[in-house]
Amino acid sequence: MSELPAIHFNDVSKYYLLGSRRAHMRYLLPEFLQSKQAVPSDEKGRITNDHNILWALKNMSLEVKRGEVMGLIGSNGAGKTTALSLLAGIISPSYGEITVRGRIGALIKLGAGFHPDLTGRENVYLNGAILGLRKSEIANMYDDIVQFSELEDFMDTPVKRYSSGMYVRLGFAVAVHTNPEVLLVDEVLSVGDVSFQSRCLNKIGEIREAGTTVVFVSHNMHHVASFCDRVAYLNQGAIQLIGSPGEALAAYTADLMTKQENENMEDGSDMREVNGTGRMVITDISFLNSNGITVTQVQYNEPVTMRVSYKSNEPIENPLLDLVARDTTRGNMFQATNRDFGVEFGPIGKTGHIDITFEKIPVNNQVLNFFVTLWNSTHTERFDWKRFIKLRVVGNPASSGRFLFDCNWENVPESEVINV
Amino acid sequence: MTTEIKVLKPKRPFSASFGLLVQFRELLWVWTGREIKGRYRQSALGFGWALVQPVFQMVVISIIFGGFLKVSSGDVPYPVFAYAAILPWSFFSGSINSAVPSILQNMQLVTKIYFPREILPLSAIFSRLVDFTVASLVFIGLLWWYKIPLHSTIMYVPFLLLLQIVLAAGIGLLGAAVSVFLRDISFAIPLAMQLWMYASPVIYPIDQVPERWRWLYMLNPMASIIDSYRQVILNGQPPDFGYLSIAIVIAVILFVAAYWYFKRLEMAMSDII
Repeated sequence: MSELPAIHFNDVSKYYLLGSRRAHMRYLLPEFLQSKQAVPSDEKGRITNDHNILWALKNMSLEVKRGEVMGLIGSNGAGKTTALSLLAGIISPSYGEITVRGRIGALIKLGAGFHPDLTGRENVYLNGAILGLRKSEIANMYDDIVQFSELEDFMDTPVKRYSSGMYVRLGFAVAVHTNPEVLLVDEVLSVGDVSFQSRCLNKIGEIREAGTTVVFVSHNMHHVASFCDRVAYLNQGAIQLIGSPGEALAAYTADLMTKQENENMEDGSDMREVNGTGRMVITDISFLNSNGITVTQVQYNEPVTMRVSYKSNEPIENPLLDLVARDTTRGNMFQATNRDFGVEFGPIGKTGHIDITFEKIPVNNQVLNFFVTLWNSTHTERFDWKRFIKLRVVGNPASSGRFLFDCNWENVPESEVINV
Repeated sequence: MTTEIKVLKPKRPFSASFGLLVQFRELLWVWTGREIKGRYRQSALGFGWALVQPVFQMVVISIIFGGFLKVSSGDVPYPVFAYAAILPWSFFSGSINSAVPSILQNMQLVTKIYFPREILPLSAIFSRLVDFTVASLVFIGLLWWYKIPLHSTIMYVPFLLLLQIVLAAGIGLLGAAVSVFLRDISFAIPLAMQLWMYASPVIYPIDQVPERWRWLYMLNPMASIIDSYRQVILNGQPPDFGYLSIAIVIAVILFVAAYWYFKRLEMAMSDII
């Protein structure tokens, strides 16, 4: 007998009526009194486009096997939290049907539904009651919960006085100790101190070993890659891809970089426009790989040459080239002139090019924006300035962080190997 | 190992509501306890407030209506007559005044975790039973002071109490659900409760209402409920079952309809933030 999935989304859609008070009052009327237009439809998978309706989830179908750890990734507003809230039964689907087999423990965005005026202790009991546990069952696990959260001294303090870290600690402790069969985890690991984070990770590991089904939402790609058996990549409420963490993360980071490229398009450089005195002009900027082929994308660990072509009608002695590289958050990652590297160009030709070769650009899945300026030798006259020259650097989707240092990994046993 | 299977559909069947509520009964008691503890927390007088309010009301009403205006109270002294009505009325209006905003006040919980939402207004009502009990102690003192004998008809009181809880639950559920979508309800309810008090025989006896309008007046379920309290406690008479059955029908129909409507709106509540 093949086992039934722990979680099954069957063509699920969810819409919200946006904003106005009139939209809210719409809920108060029975359907037959509303005009046909008022109720959005997705008959045969078609989603209506209406600016008063926000489709948080569109025709989502997904199966999660028992004991599987399913990751959900995507940008803000992609529908990750909506999917979790639907699973937790907080909101109901507009269309479609969700089947969940097993008791759910949920951590939706900072805290599993605590009442601010109640003390930590009262909230533990309240939460247990909400999860359908009897008072005696909660009493049995109370000590473990307190110990895990390390909040012994704060259990009689109202949770409104808790820091956000304390809040999450207690929420996580309750959720994992109530022995859920399906655990929903939303961005908890981004909060709390280091020691708590590592205990969370260990606890999640334990839970996985015990065969609990986990749905895991995080913006930390590293966590997603290391925890999840499979990952679903959501974009604007629709599933783009379900696959191995590697596949899903690669698709997501590729889309993110495309978005980053398009974001600054309006600032995009126009090669014909001269920003300076124009006595020497940059006519073209391109990137070449090690085979001399023009590229727009390189790997973080491969060499790349930036070719700045110029022309001039006057003799110019020893120009300076100032190069800036920024990431999309517009922070400078690199700024230098040829002189900083101890290089002088000397006299130039009527036309020619300057090659700047990078052994490698060790950044992780970033779209770099280059700014190139040509100055005279004394840095007093700007000839030309070209902006937002883009280069996409592909790193390792499974790692997080802005940089990706190229490194070798090796284990060196210094005594005989311990056999398992 | 038994595994609970949950199917989440756009609409939950109303017929399943009661079973779910039974399943979550533990939460109903925990939340009721929280309401009781929370209400007078950080006040020096504590549960004393449950006493002060009806007693002062009784004193003021007795001076103005019993003393100055000489409103007839039949065979019983006016203060006892008034307090016999203020007691259930305070319970009733207190129930509704705390049930209606109960969902809005707990939105941070409603948007985070699922439980049958009717637990919030229902606990608000149950928690008012404590105030009612505390205030009843004064009533017992009053009966003793005015040497009013206890009648066996006092046996009807639990039934009257249940009836007014059902009525309050109907109105509370309706108000709590609608106020999430239409905040005006939260402002309108206290006003409505004030007007309703004048439309009920709290400060005057029912026989002051003109005979030919009596039938209309008695369509107000609280009118026959309050009158019944006076009958069974002060006069030792059974309630007027004719009028009381109207109240029962209205209360039950209102409760079922309100509960159905509440469950229909329940899942949309967390869509409104």
